[in-house]
Amino acid sequence: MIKKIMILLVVIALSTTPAYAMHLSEGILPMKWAVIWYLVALPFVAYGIYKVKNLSKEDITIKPMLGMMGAAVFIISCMPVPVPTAGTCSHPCGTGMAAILIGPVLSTFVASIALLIQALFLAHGGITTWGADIVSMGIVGSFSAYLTFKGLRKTGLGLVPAAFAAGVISDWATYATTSFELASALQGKESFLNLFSTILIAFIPTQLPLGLLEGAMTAGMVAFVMKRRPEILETLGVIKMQSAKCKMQSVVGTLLLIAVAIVPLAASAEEGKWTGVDESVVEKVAKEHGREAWEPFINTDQGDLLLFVFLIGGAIGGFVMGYYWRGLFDSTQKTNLPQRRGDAEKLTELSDLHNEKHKISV
Amino acid sequence: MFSETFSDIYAKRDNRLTRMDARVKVVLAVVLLLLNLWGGTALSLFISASSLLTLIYLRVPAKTLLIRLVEPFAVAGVVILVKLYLIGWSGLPEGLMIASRILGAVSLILLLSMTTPVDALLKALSWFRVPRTWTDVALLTYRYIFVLLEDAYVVYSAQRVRLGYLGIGRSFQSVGTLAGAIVIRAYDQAMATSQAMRLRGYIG
Repeated sequence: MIKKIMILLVVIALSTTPAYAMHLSEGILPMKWAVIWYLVALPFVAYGIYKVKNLSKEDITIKPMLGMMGAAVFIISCMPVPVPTAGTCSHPCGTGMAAILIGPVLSTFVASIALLIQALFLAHGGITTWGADIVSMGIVGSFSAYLTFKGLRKTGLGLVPAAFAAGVISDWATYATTSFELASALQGKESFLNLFSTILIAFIPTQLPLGLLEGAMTAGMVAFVMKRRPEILETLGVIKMQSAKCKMQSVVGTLLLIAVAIVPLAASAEEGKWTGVDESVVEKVAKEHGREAWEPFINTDQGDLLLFVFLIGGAIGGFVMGYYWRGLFDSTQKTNLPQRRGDAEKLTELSDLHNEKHKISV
Repeated sequence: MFSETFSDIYAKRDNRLTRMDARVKVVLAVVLLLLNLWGGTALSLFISASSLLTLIYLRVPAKTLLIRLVEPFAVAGVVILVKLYLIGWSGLPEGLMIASRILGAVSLILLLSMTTPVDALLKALSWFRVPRTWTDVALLTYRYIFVLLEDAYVVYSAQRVRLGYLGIGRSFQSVGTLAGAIVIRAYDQAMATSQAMRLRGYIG
């Protein structure tokens, strides 16, 4: 029993040595599992190729953009990030970040390239484990990040917290998938669940805090880009910039809604539930001092006459506002607003008047 | 400065293996990888020893080889220990088999990457009907890794000089900023590259 505990501690300690993200080392998978993961990854990569081919017919910047994103994912996944609990450095996946920026399908495509380059030239991962790495980091990592990000944004959560959650979920999902791949490949006489849980526990000291770090890095990246170059996020479809016109329209719409909500209250006031200040205070005090209120000169308190007056007023106001709408709320549009005379014009006019008065010819 | 990070700097040397056609090397590598997975411990160890000895013969520094082999050795050690933990001493042969397979495959990939430049490799893959869309983006990715690495290093150095990595909290913030700077630079470089390519007749 003690021997088993010691071996487990050594396993955990060895797992905290520089762990190169969740790459499966070359040769670790037997033939059967290597082929299975290749077959799982192939349709996603094939669809990615198909999508890139179609997109590049409409926009030739797609391939350079994806090349750059692939390079960025590569570099970010090579960045050493200090892991406090392990006392060493580890590397984030980077695919969650890519999925937020370019979508999960293109992120999977880009990840397949970055993983091959890492396998060949940095000995991170391998050729026989390429399929498995694409599944864990490319597919699971990208889709989990994307769905988390979009789902949280739809609930109204801010950009940065949603990016943080996406980064964390992406990293942990990748780590869980890698553990599953390892356990299914290495299973011999022992039970699958035992092996899976052992591998999972062995990776916890590095991978659990690393997930939080990746979340922080993803959030930091999104916050920095939003602060410096928000148009990049808009171009990539991460956010939709509300124009000033849309904002004003939504404000006006809100005010109209409030106005519509107030009408039933006003109607109930007419039934006598709520009396106005005029009747409850002004008329009361006037009566006490012997001054009765007169009948109005134009008495609109006859059937629907008051409502008709409001309708006419609203229609006239609406037409006026509509006529000047663009000029008032969208400064980029040409306006038909009456222009104020500038100071130079006023001075010229004054000068002309002065000259005429004193009969000075210029 | 960062080219030493990549194994393919040794592929630019002139020797018998670098002169060999990349397609032949790709086929040999795939066949030997499959044999490594299928065969037993002895075959995997033979493949590993042959590959490493060939690399030493090609004058690749032993230190470089050891650095590249650290991770596979660590992984192989973990696998053996996991087998011992779960099964006991009877799990040792299985653990050794997996460990030898890892070593054999990693040594083979090192031999391939240190004798074949990237452009030749991707050209060979194109010949084997890998879609041009994929190889084009792969070439662009490889090309611009070095450009972005330089930029990332400049940002990182500036952060370090300004004590951006003093303490854990500040380090995390700096890493996020660094990632954001890399993304912005990648985007700008992509736009400039596509414009330059278009001016030189690139149509997608």
